[in-house]
Amino acid sequence: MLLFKSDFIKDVVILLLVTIILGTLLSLVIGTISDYYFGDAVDSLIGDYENNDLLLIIDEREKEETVEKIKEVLQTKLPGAKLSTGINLAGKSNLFISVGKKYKRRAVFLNLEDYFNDIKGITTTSLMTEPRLTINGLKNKASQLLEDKIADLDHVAFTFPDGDSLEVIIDEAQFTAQVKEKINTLLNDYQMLGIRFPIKEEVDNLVQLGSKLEKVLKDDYGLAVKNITELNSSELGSLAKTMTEMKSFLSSYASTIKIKVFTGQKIEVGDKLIIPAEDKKKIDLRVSNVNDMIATAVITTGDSSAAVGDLVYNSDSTTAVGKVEINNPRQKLDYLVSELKKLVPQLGSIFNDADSILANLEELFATLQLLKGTTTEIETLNQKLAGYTANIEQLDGREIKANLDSLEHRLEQLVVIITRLEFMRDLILDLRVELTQLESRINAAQAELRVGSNYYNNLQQLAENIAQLKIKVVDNTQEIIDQINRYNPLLKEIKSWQKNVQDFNAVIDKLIKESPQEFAKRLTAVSNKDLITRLQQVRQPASEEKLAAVKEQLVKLRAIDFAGITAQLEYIEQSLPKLKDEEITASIDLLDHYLAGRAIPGAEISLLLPAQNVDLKVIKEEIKTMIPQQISFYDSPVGIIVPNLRNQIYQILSEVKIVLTVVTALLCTSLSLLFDHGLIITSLQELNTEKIFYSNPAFYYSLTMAVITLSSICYLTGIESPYLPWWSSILVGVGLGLIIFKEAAVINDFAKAEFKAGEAFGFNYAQIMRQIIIPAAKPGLLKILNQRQTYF
Amino acid sequence: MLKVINLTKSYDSRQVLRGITFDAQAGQTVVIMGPSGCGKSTTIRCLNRLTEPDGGKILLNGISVLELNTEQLLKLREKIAFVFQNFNLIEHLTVEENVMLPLIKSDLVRQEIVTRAQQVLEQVQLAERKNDYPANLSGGQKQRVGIARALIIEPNLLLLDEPTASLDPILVKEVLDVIEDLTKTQDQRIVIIVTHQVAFALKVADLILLLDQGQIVEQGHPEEIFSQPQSQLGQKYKQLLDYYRS
Ligand SMILES: Nc1ncnc2c1ncn2[C@@H]1O[C@H](COP(=O)(O)OP(=O)(O)O)[C@@H](O)[C@H]1O
Ligand SMILES: [Mg+2]
Repeated sequence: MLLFKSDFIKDVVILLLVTIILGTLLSLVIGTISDYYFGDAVDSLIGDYENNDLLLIIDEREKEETVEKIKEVLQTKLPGAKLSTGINLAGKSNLFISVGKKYKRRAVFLNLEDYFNDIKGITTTSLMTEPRLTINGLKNKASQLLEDKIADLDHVAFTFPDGDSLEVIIDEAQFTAQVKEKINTLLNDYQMLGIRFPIKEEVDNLVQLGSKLEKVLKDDYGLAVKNITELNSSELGSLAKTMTEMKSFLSSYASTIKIKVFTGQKIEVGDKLIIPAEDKKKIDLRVSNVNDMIATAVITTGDSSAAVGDLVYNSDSTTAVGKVEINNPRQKLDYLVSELKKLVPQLGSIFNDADSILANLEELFATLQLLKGTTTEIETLNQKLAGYTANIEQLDGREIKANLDSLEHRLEQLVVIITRLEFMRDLILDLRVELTQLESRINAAQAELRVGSNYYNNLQQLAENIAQLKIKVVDNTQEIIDQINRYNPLLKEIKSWQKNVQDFNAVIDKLIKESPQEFAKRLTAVSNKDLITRLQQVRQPASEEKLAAVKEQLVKLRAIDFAGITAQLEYIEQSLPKLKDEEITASIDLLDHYLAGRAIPGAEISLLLPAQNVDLKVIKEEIKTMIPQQISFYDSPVGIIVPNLRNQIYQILSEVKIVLTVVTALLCTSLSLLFDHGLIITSLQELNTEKIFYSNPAFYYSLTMAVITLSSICYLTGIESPYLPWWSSILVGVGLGLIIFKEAAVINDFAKAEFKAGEAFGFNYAQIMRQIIIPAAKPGLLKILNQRQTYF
Repeated sequence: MLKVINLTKSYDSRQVLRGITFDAQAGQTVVIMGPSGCGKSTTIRCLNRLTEPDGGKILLNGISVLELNTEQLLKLREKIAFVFQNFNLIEHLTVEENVMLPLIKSDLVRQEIVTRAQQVLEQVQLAERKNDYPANLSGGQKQRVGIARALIIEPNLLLLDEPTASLDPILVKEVLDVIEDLTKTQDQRIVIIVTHQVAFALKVADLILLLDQGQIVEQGHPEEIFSQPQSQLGQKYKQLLDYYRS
């Protein structure tokens, strides 16, 4: 090549070196400036990068105290840690903690946030250590499995689990991309197969079931399966669950529209129909189900309360297609709620009544005791009277009189007691009736509200309590009532006995003076043995324990927050009727949209599988044969590296830096190629008689110079990023070389005639370039460097 | 002396020179004439290998020009001057610098080169324009600078390729006068001129080569050629000369 025939190659080498050095310096300077400029801006916003490990947001009002406590913790747990204060914003202060190098290890970070748990003024703690990657969605057992592998990766300082995620701390920011790629490779080795049971289906022994699946898949399919089933569902799962509940809640309040389709009319699912409404408006329907000549529909615009008539029309209102039957649960509920609202305050007083009943029952018990004593006494008296008939001769009139007085008094007491028992029995029976009625009213209310709402739950609790109270009252008072009832028929007899005794007592004086035989006969009539026996038979003391059970139930009932229930009812009353059918339908549609394709988590078994060489279809079939329930499957990655804002910003910044550096390097290379080497390339092209590019030395020269310049600058500036692997600068260099090879002549005018003149002088290539061509060229590094060589 | 033997040259399998053979003695002036595209420039360029011939032999004062290596060739060119049809001046250099340029790689000190430049510029009557740039000169002046630049190396072979072809006709004479003058002042130098100026050729040539389609169709002393031309081409030049004379 012409170049090598002269010492111009020296000039080229010098040009290259100077270009590379200047390009490198310029690139570095620009990179540093960008770092400095952007880095500063971001640091003031989010704290010094790579320096802080923990951000504590504290309440500004308690700042001093809190800071004191934090300092104490730092002193005992992390001596040497630095605490710095960030900005105060909206009553909150930001504190940054930077732990010493020696604390940067797993054991410390595992508990780092816990150290501050007990300090009251801290509202938020969040990990700030950078550079860091966070892997989310890792099931516990998957995390355990992967953590060691990740910790062993190059440039990973340490790792630690944090809830559902695994934090990966990296040695230096520049390795982040590299580590991320490696982690992704690791994560991609696995996949997770979720086996979901229907919602609300309780599945026992989930973990054991998972292990069973694991074993079968291992033994029969030789798969490296791992059971990573966890019992608590994820947040996302509970969100989906909530949405499902919300949907069923809304559905239960949407008006149901039943259409009896007229013969000759045809309705299909999705059809739009119309019901005329007040004020010449209309209610739009969407048919949701058709079964023979009965269709159901939902309201898409308007509200069923405004419906006029019972006909439903096709969408252009021309033809009546059926008869409509509207069931608006909100209207019903509205009615029900207002009814309940009247009922609930009464409940309180009912239980207060019950309270007094309890007191009465206690009294009843005392009365029964009393009855027992009275009966005993009467028995004694009776025996005494009976004894008199045996020894009639020894009768002491006064003693008999005293005994008779006593008996009379006792009988009077007995009558009072039994009458009281009767009253109480009625009270108890009343309560039982009342409880039964209450129970059925609440059950009726509940039947209208088949929803898992708070309100429903309260009502449910109330109903259960009342039912139990009723059972206890019935069970425990039945015996008492039976007993009372057994006294009842005796009452008349007792009263007549009482009459006898009274009469006898009145005539006793006279009688004693009469014949003793007559007296004895009368006495026999007064001492009523038979009645005593019957009294003894009914006299069975009621158990105190039974009353205690009733009392306990009452206490429970009194604990119910009737005021709360009333408030809730009022709230429901106010809010529910305001929801229009169209709004409910729109909401349900929206929920459906979100829930579409989303597996709603019920109980769930998670299996960790290898990502490759697994026929999921076969495995799913196998699992289906092993589980009787209607299960669904979903497969997902084991974990996902989530972007972390700070990291992201710094990543962007470092990329901005890289981009700026690369752009500078490219610019330097391009400029040098265009204006410096371009001239040389043009000269080589002009002098070359070969028309085919690959035998053109200019072609090789272009490529070589572009590649050497660009890759050297890139290498020297240490640019490294996933976007620019080492070979990319070579590729770009080649591309650049090609462009320059094509375009150099456009930019550089090369005076061929002058070159020819030089040749005629006997100048070699170097001399021609140095003395003739370069001095005439556009300004550039080559021209500057050449100045020391020109003669003129 | 110069001995050219069977010089051949092809461009893309098209033969442009088909065996050019001629001799020139020291001090002789050779004029090459012929129609456009017949190979005159190619011939003259082959002499200092600005164009590389395919075959043949060139002996210049005993040196086989075609066997020289690059270095030797460049050395040889220091004593062969070339005047271009389009002057080929260096636009960014002044007249003086242009003239000095061929000597800058010699061992001569700058002052000596300046002195010599002064001399040759005086010879072509342009001494007072030495600080001008080529762009400010007329065509005739430019070509005189080209001639001065050729003369400064004191060539023993001076090659002029249609030196007046690019000139305004009224400027042709000042250049031809300079050339005529220089062919007479040096008795060792061989001058080879390609030109269409028949009268001029008649005046200065010791040998005329008539070239047609890459071949010398006739060569000889101008008096011979223009009085009794052997070739058709010679006939045409005779008629042309007669026309001028009439
Ligand atoms: N570099 C070249 N490449 C291809 N053909 C050329 C080249 N130079 C000259 N020629 C051709 O060679 C022939 C002779 O050219 P040239 O010697 O310049 O003729 P002349 O000077 O007699 O007018 C012409 O046909 C010309 O087209
Ligand atoms: Mg020519």
